[in-house]
Amino acid sequence: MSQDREREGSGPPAPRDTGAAGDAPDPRQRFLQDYAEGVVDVQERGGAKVPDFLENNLVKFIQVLRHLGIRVSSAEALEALQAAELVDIMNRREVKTAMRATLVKDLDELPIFDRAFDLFFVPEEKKTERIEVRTHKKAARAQQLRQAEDDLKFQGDKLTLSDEQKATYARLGDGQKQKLKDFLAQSSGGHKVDKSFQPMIENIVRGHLERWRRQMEAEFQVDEEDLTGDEELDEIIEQILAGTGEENDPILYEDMRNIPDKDIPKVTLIIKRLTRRLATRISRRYRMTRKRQRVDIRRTIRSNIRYGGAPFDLKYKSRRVQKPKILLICDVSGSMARYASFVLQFIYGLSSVVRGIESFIFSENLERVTPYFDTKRPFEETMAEVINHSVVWGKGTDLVTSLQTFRRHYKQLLSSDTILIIVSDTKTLAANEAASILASMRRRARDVIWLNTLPHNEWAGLSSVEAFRKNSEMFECYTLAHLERIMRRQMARRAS
Amino acid sequence: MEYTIDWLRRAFEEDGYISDEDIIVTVYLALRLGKPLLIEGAPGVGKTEIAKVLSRIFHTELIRLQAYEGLDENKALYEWNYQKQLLYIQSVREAGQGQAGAKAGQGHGHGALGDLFSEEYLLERPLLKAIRAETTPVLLIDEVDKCDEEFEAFLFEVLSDFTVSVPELGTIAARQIPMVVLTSNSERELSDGLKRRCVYLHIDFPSVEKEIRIINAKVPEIGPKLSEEIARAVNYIRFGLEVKKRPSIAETLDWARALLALDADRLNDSLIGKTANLLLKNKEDLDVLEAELEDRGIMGRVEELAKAAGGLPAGLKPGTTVAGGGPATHVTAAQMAGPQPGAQKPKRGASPTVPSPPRRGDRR
Ligand SMILES: Nc1ncnc2c1ncn2[C@@H]1O[C@H](COP(=O)(O)OP(=O)(O)OP(=O)(O)O)[C@@H](O)[C@H]1O
Ligand SMILES: [Mg+2]
Repeated sequence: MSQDREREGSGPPAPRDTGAAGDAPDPRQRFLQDYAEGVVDVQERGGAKVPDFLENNLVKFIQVLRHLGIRVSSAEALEALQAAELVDIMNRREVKTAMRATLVKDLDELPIFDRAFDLFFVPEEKKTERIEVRTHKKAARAQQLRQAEDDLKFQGDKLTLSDEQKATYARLGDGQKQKLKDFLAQSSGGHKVDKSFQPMIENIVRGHLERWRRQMEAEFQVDEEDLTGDEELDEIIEQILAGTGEENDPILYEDMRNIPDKDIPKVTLIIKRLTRRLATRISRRYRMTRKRQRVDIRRTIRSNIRYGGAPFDLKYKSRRVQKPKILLICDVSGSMARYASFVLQFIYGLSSVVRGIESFIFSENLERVTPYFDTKRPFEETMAEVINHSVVWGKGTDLVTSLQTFRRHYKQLLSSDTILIIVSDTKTLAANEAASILASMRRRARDVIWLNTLPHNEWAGLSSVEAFRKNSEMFECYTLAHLERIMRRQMARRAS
Repeated sequence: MEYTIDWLRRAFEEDGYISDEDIIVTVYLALRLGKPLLIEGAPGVGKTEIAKVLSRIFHTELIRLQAYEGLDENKALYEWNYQKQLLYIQSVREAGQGQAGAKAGQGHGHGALGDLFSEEYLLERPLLKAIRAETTPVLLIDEVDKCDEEFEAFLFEVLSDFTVSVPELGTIAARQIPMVVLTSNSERELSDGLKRRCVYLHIDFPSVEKEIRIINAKVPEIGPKLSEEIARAVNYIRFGLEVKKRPSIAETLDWARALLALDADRLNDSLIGKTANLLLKNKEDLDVLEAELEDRGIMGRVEELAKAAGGLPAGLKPGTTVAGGGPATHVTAAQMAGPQPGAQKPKRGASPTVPSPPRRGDRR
């Protein structure tokens, strides 16, 4: 038998062109360099004009895909280029197929790819137009902020507000705006009101704006960090993120408790997509962190010796970021059960970016349910089994007993990299006692996040909310949109 | 030998495989890039068939590795033929006793044992067979989503460099890279690593227009009118009814053959009722169909839809990923506050299918 590998086969499929490994600058090699550096270029040069080569376009296009959560390896990027060279470059459909076949390996990502391709590969006029639209939008945004500053003054001085708060003001209806302006006008002119009142007035205005912001923010918004800094690319990314269908589904803003049974399959599907996209987004951050990665030349060469030295597989210097562990404790007492099953599904959807998820359900007492989720079965079946085997599902709430059980048997599951997530409306017997147990658990965990299914405006005056809030970061969480947003923000924060 | 997209398109067509541009271009690229082709899609949309077509049009061997839970290296790569080894040891021992003591402990016996792990006793399994093939074979790794993760990792290694090592024989490298086709029903997510190695193709259920062509290609005696009615009816049953398991192309073809055998020249509701068990295999789905036949009827609806589409071969749009619903469980809806199994209504609405694009001129 032949021991040497003879790649030039005699069979019909022409074997892969190994590339000119001579002294002449190999276009592929150059592409790889551009690809590695292109990310820097595009970001740092802020969209400066670069020649319109296929390579260049591809580098940018892949950047768009990455920012939309589609992972592309450098080997795949190279293949996409080779593939594009193998088809009729003037035939748009073939080019699209070539790129799709080499860059996207996941059914769920195909629609995103298709939209990105259609928006990205457009005639030059379209591109120019797009940049104009964007510049225009930006200018309009800046103008709005200035307007907010002008409108919101106390005794002629600008209030100290964040850009986010100013933007919130800009989005208010005229009536709401007028109310704020009236309030400022009245208090400015008040009897015995002097400059020393400004901080208090500011607080009131901020509080007001924050409330509005929270309400509006259930809407999905594009995070700054999803953008590249290149105006043209960002316009595409925003368009796609803003319109990927599901995000506009009213079911996302529905109180989870009120989602009717008939919509559950749909929700299951939505959760699956949301978490999958979130997972790619998060893992991108875990891998890239905030700083752009540098190609690790030495590791690249070492690992590429087997390809005859051409850098096929770029190795990045990575800052090691430890993935978190999640420990979930879900209230499954009567009114909470539905929230719990959605949250569980959501968290398990993130299992590709979170290590060893541990989950518990509680009402009168606590039960560990992790083992049910270890299998590859469909989520529906798993949940059905959990419910069938649980003796606490749907009972009354006693967090003290439950947390004591936790401490007795499972304390060792908490460690300094664990994010403890509690899902509950805080309505339990002996809240204060439960809160003090929580305090001791918090010391052993990295963070405690409380997903409160009560709307924020019902928190005031509830002593249980007060008690638990002292020992956790508490978020209002009764819709899927809340859940998505909280997890996105929290996980992103920990990744950077 | 230079081959082009056009050549490939024609070859597929001559072999009776009806495909669209996406399929042809993707297959072409996988071959030209020398990469494995990963095909995902619902059961029976023609994934496995692509590997078979390739082996036929290139006149080359089809080596098939059927994946399943528990598949391991021994069954996929190679095994030693213990029986043959045992027989050999016995024969050596007997021979040794025959010439007792003469050359005891000398070269012969030692050498003989060394030979026990030679090619003669090697049982090639599909992967090794593909690697050692004289001419580029087609290696079909069917239903790769069924194997365990460990095996997938092993597969990934093999597909990365087409080199395997047999401790007793050393490293064996492929003479040429096989044309590799992997198929998956997406029961399990494949690893990123494996996917990255591959060129990816997703095949959807066919449009009415495509299915008509498939029926005509595979059951040519059937005539254009009936094949169109069959394709429309199947499309309606697939996407218009809430069936758990949508009929596959293979089932369409079985149905077409049965209707031909019954000498049918037009399709009607009573014929559908009589032959439905060829199309739908489980009781619940058959019940759904029966109820629909009694309730609104099927061919009437199908014709309405066809008219609405203005005579174009149209169908209900294949909703991309509408879940078919999991197996039933013994929890009541009220008790279950969590996600529930159950079929979801597919999106309705007729959309005309784009006629296949005109052929392009030849290209180098
Ligand atoms: N495009 C097509 N043209 C002609 N025949 C087809 C086509 N697609 C499918 N068929 C026929 O349908 C049958 C089923 O196809 P095949 O076995 O390839 O399906 P599959 O996708 O591999 O299904 P499974 O997931 O169940 O393995 C085959 O007999 C094949 O002849
Ligand atoms: Mg098959």
